[in-house]
Order: sequence, then C-alpha cells, then structure tokens
Amino acid sequence: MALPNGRRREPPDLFGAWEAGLLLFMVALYFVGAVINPGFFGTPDALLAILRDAARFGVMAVGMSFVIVNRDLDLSVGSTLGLVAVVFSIAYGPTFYDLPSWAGVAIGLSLGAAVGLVNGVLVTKLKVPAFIATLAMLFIGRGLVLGLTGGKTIGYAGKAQTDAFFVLGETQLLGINNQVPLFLIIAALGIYVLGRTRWGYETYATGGNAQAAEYAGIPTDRVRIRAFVLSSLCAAIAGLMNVAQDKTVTSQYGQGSELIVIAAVIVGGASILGGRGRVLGSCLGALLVVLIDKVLREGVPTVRTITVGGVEMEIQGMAQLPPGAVPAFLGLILVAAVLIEPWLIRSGLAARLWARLRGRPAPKGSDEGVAIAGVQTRGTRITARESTASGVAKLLARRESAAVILVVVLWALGAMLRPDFWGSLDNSFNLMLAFTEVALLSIGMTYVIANGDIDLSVGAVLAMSGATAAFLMKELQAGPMVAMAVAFAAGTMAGVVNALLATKARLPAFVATLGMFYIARGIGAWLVAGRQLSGFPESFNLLGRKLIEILSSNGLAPQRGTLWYDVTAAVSVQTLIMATIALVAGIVLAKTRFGHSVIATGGNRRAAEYAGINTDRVRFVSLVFSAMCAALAGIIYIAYLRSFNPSAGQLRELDAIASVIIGGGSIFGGYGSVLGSLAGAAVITLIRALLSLQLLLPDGTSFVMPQHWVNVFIGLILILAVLADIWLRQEGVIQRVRERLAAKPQLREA
Amino acid sequence: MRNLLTTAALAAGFAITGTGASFAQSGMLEKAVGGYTFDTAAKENPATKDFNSNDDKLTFAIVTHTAGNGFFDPTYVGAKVAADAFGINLLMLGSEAPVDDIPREIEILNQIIQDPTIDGVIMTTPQSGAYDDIVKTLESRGIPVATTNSYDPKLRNRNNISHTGQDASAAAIGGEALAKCVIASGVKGGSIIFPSTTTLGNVEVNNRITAAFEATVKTLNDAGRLKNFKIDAGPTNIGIDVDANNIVGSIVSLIESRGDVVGAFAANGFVTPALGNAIAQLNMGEKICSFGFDLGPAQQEQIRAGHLDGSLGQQPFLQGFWPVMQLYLQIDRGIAAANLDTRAQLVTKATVDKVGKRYEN
Repeated sequence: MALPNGRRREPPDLFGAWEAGLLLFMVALYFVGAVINPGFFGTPDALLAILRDAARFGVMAVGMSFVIVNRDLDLSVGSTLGLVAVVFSIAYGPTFYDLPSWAGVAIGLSLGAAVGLVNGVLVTKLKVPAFIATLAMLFIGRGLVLGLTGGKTIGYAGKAQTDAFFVLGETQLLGINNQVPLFLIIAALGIYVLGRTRWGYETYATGGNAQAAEYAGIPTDRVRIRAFVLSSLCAAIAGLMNVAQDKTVTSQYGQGSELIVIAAVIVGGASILGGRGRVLGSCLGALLVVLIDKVLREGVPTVRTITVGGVEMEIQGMAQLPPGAVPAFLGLILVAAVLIEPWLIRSGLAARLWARLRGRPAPKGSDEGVAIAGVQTRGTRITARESTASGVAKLLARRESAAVILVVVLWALGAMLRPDFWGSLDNSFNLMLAFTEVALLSIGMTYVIANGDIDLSVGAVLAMSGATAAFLMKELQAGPMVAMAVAFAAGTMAGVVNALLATKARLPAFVATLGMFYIARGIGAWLVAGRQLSGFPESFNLLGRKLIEILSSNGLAPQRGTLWYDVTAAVSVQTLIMATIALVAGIVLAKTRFGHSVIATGGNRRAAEYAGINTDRVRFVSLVFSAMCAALAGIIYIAYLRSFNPSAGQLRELDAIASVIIGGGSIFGGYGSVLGSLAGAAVITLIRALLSLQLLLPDGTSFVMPQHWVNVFIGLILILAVLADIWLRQEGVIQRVRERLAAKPQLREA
Repeated sequence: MRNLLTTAALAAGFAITGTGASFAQSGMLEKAVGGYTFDTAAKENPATKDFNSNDDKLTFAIVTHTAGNGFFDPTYVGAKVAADAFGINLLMLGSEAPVDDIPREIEILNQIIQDPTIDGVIMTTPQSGAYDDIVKTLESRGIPVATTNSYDPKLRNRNNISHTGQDASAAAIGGEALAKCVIASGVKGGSIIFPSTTTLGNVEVNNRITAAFEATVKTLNDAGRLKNFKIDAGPTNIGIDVDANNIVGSIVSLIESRGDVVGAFAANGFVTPALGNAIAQLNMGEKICSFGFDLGPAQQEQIRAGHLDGSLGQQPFLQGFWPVMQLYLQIDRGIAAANLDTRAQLVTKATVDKVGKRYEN
C-alpha cells in the first residue's frame, strides 16, 4: 500500500536503531575479547564458535519473540527442549526402542507442537495466565525428563556414526557447524513471518491491544495459540539440535535456558508488555548473551608460585574472573541493556544533549517508561462473593481454601499410609521444618504478587546473603551479630535495587528481578570463590537448631518428661521465626491500611492512585520486604546447615511462586493471603514428603513411591489449583450448570 | 598274618586318623571360638532381625545428595546386593534433582529418621557440618549410621562412624597420568586445563581438582618440563568454572579459546562425560590427553572410542555394598565401625573391557 506522499507503508521494521545499537555493542565487546585473547578473537574461529553456541538459543528466541510480542510468556521452553531430547533418545536409543532417527524426529516435533498446543489452550480457552500455565509445564516437563530417564544418561554414539541426521551437529568445511545454517534459516523465516506477513501483523496487533485487535476481526486466541506452538516447536528443534551434536542426553538438558532465552529476547528490544519486538533483535540478543559469556570467561597469562609437597614452584597459568563473576556481569548487562530505552532513547537524551551543545532549548523527552500498566480491576468478583456468602460457603469462597483443603487431604493421606509416626509431635515439627525455607520466601512473594509484580531473585538473594554472612565470619572473623546485620543489609539492598528499577526506572518487575537473579547468585559464588565455608561459631548456629538447644545454652532447659520438654525438643528456632513473620505479615496484609493498599495497587493501579495511594511506595516496600525475607532465609540456611554452599536456594524462586499461586494468589495482582501462601508451601512440602515415605505392605515388604516424578505432581497440582480457581470459583461453572438445570423444568412448565 | 594285621591296623589307624583329624580339628576350633562350631558361629544372632524396630526384619535406608544423574545407580545396586544377601529391607532415596541438592537430601533424612521401622542409615555427607543433627538424633535412638562417597572429616562422632569411599587425594593418580600422557605425546608445550562446576561448591570435587592439579605440576616439574606448559585450575586451584547447565558447550569454548590445550582433567561423573563429549565434538582425541574421575557407562564408551584417555573409578558399587554390610555387622555382631578405602582405579583403553560388566560402574 502506498501513502499519499508516495512512500510505501512498511510493516513493523525488520531492522532498527535498537539492533544497530546491539551490533555496535557487540562489536565493542568483541574488540575487548580480541585485546584479551587475539589468538582466538582475532580469527574467524571465534565468530563461528559464537554462532554455533548461540544457534540453539537463537532458534528458541525466534519462537519466544512471537510469544512475547503477543504479550505472553513461555517459561516452558527449557523443559520442552529437555523433554524432546529425552523422548528422541528413548525412541532412537538402541537400548530402548531402537527406531530410525526420522521417527525420533517426527515424535520429537509432534511432542513439541503438542506442548505448545496445551500451553496455548490453557492460556486462551481455559484463561490460565501464561506465566502460570508455562510454569506448570516447566515443572511437568522437568519431572518427565527425570522420570523417563530415571536420571540416567542415554547415549547412542555408535548407532549415530552412520546416521545422516547427526550430520546436523557436525562441523563441516570452513569450520561452520551445521546448526548455524539451520539457525540462520529459522531466523530468516521468523524475521519474514513476524515482519512481513499477516501472521506478524496479527501478532503485533494482539500484543499491542488485544481488544482492538478483536474489534478489527483478528482471532486473538488463535494468534496466541499459534505463538505458543511456534515457541514449543522451536524449543523442540533446539532439543533435536542438542542431541544431534552430543549424541547423548542427560537429565540436565535445557535446565535454566528459559531465562537465558527470555533475557535474549528482552535484550533484543522486545517489550515484556507486548506489542514490540523483532526477531532479528532477539537473535542478536542470543548472540550477545553467548558473546558476553565467552569474553567474561577469558583470562590473561600470568605466573603464580605454588607449593607442592613442600617444594615451591612457579607455574604459568591464566588469571581470570572468579567463579560467579560471569552471571553477575550478565545480569548487570541485561539490566543496563533494558535501561537504554527509557533513559537514552525515550528520554531523547542524545537530542537534548545536542540541543544543549548548540545552545538551543532542549526538546522534551517522553516520560513514559517501559512499563505500561494495564488498567483492569482484578480480584473484585471473588472478594464480593466472599463478602456475600455465609457459613461454610463463606469459608469455601476464600481463594486459599482449596490449598488448605489440599493440605488437610495430603496430611490425612500420610496419616493413613503411616499411622505409626506421621502424626507424632516430632514428625509434625519435622514437616514444619522442611517447609520453613519455602514458606519464608513465599511470605514476601505474597506481597509482591498481590501487587501485580513478580520476584525471580529470591533464591539468588538467599544465596548472596548466606554467602555474605559466611564470608564475614570465616574470612574476616566478624562476630555473628555483625555478620547477620551485614548479610541482612546486603539482601535488603538487592530488594532496594529491584524496587528502584521497578518503580523509578519503570522496568517490569520480571525484568528487574531477572537481572538480580543473575547478579545476586553471581556475587554469592564470587564472595566464596566457589567454595563451601563452614565452622561458624556455635552461638550463631543455634539459629538453625531446636528450641531446646537455645534454652539449654542459656540454662533454661525444661525438665525431661514434661510436655514443654517434648515441644522444645521438636520445634526449630527457624520455624518460630517464620511463624512470627507470617503472623505479622498476614495481619498487615489482611487487616491494615498498608495491606489494603497492596491489594488495591495490584487490583487496579490507576484507581489506587486516584484513591490517594502512593502505588510506587507500596510496590517498593513489597519488593524490599520480599528481599528481606530471602535475606533472612539465607542467614538461617547457613546456620541450619552449619555451612554455606554456593548452590544454596537454587530454583527456590519457582517453589515460592508456585506456593503463592497454589495458595490462591493471583499472578495478575489484586489478591493474595499469607495463609494461602503458607498452605501452598505446605502442599509442595507434603508432596515431597509423601514421595519419600516408606509404605508398608501387608506381606511385610515395603516400597517408596517414585521420587523422580515429584515435579510432575507439583506441576499438575499447580495447574489444577489455578483451573479450579478460575472455573469453579471465579466463573462458577458448577453454579451455572445447576442454575441451567433448574431453569429447564421451569421453562417446560411455562 | 602278622603283615596282614599290621596292614589292617595301619589302614584302620589311617582311617581313624583321617576322620579323627577332622574331629580333632573341630574340637580345637570349638575351643578357639568358645565351644561353638563354625556353623553355629556363622549363624545370625536371633535378635538381629528385631533390632530397634522389633519387626522381625532389618530396614536400612541409603540417602544420597542426588538421585537425578545416574551416578549413584551402581551404589544403589551394590547396596541392594548386600541387602538381598542378608535379607535386609532397603530403601534407596536421594534428592530427585539432577545436580547436588543437599537441603533436599537433609529433608529426606529428617523424615527417614522419624520412621520407627528404620534400623540403619547410610548417607553421603558432601556439606561439612550439615549432618551433625541427623547423627545426633540417630545416636539418641540407637540407630547406627554409616557414611559413603563424600567424606565430612568434622562429622559428629566421626571416629565411631564407618566411611566407605576414597580420599580426594586419589585424584592425584589421574593428575599424574595426565602429565605423563602429555609428556609421552611429545608436545613441546601448551595448556593443561581443569574445568569444574565450582559454583556447585562440592568440597569433595574441589579437593579432587586440587589434588590432580598438584600431581600434574609435580610430575611435570620432576620431568623438568613444568616451564613448557600453562597449567590452569582456576584462581584458587579448584577448577576453571564452567556453566553447570551447559558443561559441554563451556568446555568446547574453553578449548577453542585457549587454542593450545594439550591436556584436561575433570573431577566427577558430571563433568567427565562432558569433557569426553567436548573432545569428541572437536575431534581432538588424538591431540588432547584427557582424564577424568568416575566411570559411568558414558565414560567407558568414551574411553573405548578414544575421546577420553582414562578415568578413575571410585568403585561406586562398593560404596553401596560395604556400608550395608558394615551396618549389618555392627548390629549382628557389634563389629566396630571400619572404614573402607575404595581407592581409585585408573581405567584406560587397555583395561576398560574388564570393568562395568554387571552394573558395578
């Protein structure tokens, strides 16, 4: 179509200033690499290696671009990659089904498409938020990977030697790996489809304004399902590329890659709030993430003196960044890249600078940040039903009731299976102890999610705070009180940074805390240089012990044989700390003005502002509170385990988010209760406890349920809890069916 | 007649002496073992099966810090073989995560020690200090405990708890073999690297890297070749950090960026197969001397195919088999806690066909 001035109307550009900026940044970074290691970065080998290593992330980023432009999110791509790789390996492996590779490929691709279809249907037809639907799929996928492999490696190098499919993973003439051309083809297709076809227009329109798109006749549900299928298909292709290269599969495949791919797409210029993004930018983002990793892992030659067996010797080695530095810098660059837009482009910094240099009045920049809050009131219908119902119905109308009922059912199941000890005082407090860490994280997360935000950094902040306390006590010989205070302050600062980025820089909390996810974990590992630290003062370790130990150390031990003795010998100090915080946080959220402000901010931010609520302050406090809970969990972790391990808190953010959602919290904000989140955390703990429970059979034998499937159960319960909440409670499907059935005889009579 | 009588007497005497010898021996040993026969002495104590739980069977649990990457499978096999041999009911548990998840292992242990039917616990102890409360509770309930695989020297009541495993210093065998391989290859210089997932903070793995690194340095120094090589085990000699979620890719990148790698050593069953895979992808089996730790099926295949020069088997089968035996003997006979050094068996292309025949690796 031509415009009146003769210019052709272009669809969303294929290439823009953002991509140009990314390219410039990559060239600069590459130059740094060339200075550090000219022997590698000075040759085409480096470029080809970057392309090869980015190929799989790039392919996944193509699919993810469609989803994010659509204003959705796909957290399941990493587990889909792993699942497809495992299913291909089981189909192809000579020790399993020994099928030809084409059959494995067909099964793998079909599975990928099916996962995408399930995600799409859950999100569109069943109205499950994309974050939750794909988070549940992440759990299920990872659980299936472990369950199907039993944790074992499946290899088939011998059979693969003569199979043409595996040429895909080989490096051919000119040093080009065959995954690179496949990546380039898929990227080109993605660029064309999103930038130049009807599918692309529909995607941008749906992500930009779904309602307007529907009025314009665009089938938005179909568009969103299509994006999920494309995303999962791309993840499936990446899984096949992975097995083609390795000729083997492990249960680790694809782990963590969902966040790398999302980071790549966001660094590539897409908005997490939809409507904006280009495939080329996403692919460049993937290349940038790989380039950063390669440059930061470089070293410079050095000579060190070491003593071996009493003999001092000089050795040549490499000086490089310590463990943890790579993720820390990756997080910083992610945040910096996303801040470029509001701070440099939208604010018109260059134009204003140029105007000032010329002595002219500076043009006004757009003050709109990256985050554009949707205006929609959430959580009201359920609140209304809750307030109008009475008796048991009132209790059941509460969103957390499902989780509480589930806790009772699971506990009763345990009591039924092992009545001999399940309900004992010791085991009850042991179960409480097992859920303390996730519960503590979920208390802070409740506030954040009720606000309509998310905090992906809690597990990493836990690790950073633990590392800080351990480092201070072991390396700097600080006293426990000083170590705890500094560690708590460090965790709190991480929350302050998250909050500033979310409220002042207007970054979506997802992006801000994704950056902190990498930064905090990196700093934690960096502080301890990848080592375990242990041997803290026993006065500090008491924080992680049973109450009786603290009482005994202060000469207050109760008398043996009394109930008080039994209770103090069973209850842990950390459980009491968590319970106290839960009580206060629960009351504040449910009964105070601030708590109502949190719910109001998440329910409808603009309306809350009109009502005089400082929503930025509320969100700030919530994000800082979440980090404080994580910091406390970190300090307790090292006291409980009497040592610090850099892997502390890994994947706990997913447990905490799942707890809040299972507990009835709305991922869109506007609802959340501490009781519900605690019940959600208890559900997860009880599932894990039941799966490691010894079941006694009548014939005297016993068995333990298959633990490898634990994440499948958690994923299924997560999705069922959300579906029940949406369809049974919010939509009142049963009530509607009952009304319809009741109306039919009346009509007949009439 | 006299001769006949003499012969008959000799024959009878011989016969009597022959059979009488066994009686005499039996009699001697009866005295030696307090008046019982071997058969009687070898019998299980009638009270053994009622130990602790009084349920006419022994139930042991073996709990590891990961059950999600296959490394401990041969350990479970070994434990089951021993358990089956002595009619012991065995629970095989571990963190379901594919990487080390110590808090989860402790969560499982905390539940297991509440179970009144448990008569013995075997556990790995990869995080120093983290298992003391568990040992304390088990002690208070009179349940014996044994540790396996990873060793915590500061564990509560360490001297009275049996440990089965090899010392981390056994990795020095691999470091020495690596240096010898590099020297024998005739290269004039280059880099020798020690990749590891240091951010997982496994103290045992860290110690192995340090031991292998020092052995490589020493061997090269003894051969007067140390100055020819760059030896890189990271800033604190516990390994060059590689991405735990993409180990193969990280090692490939490392080899490519260094450009002159002639030797590599990996320290566990997680990184060693990845090292073999990386070398296979780069097709550099002939150019790089590569050794690792642990000897799963993947490593055995890689050694056969020439993608790994060798790997140290720490005999995971024994790490399951022996602690079950040990606990049984402690309960049945009051045998004091004994340690078993499973040592490290260096397996190369020449010897790989002799191992792993019946799920023991």
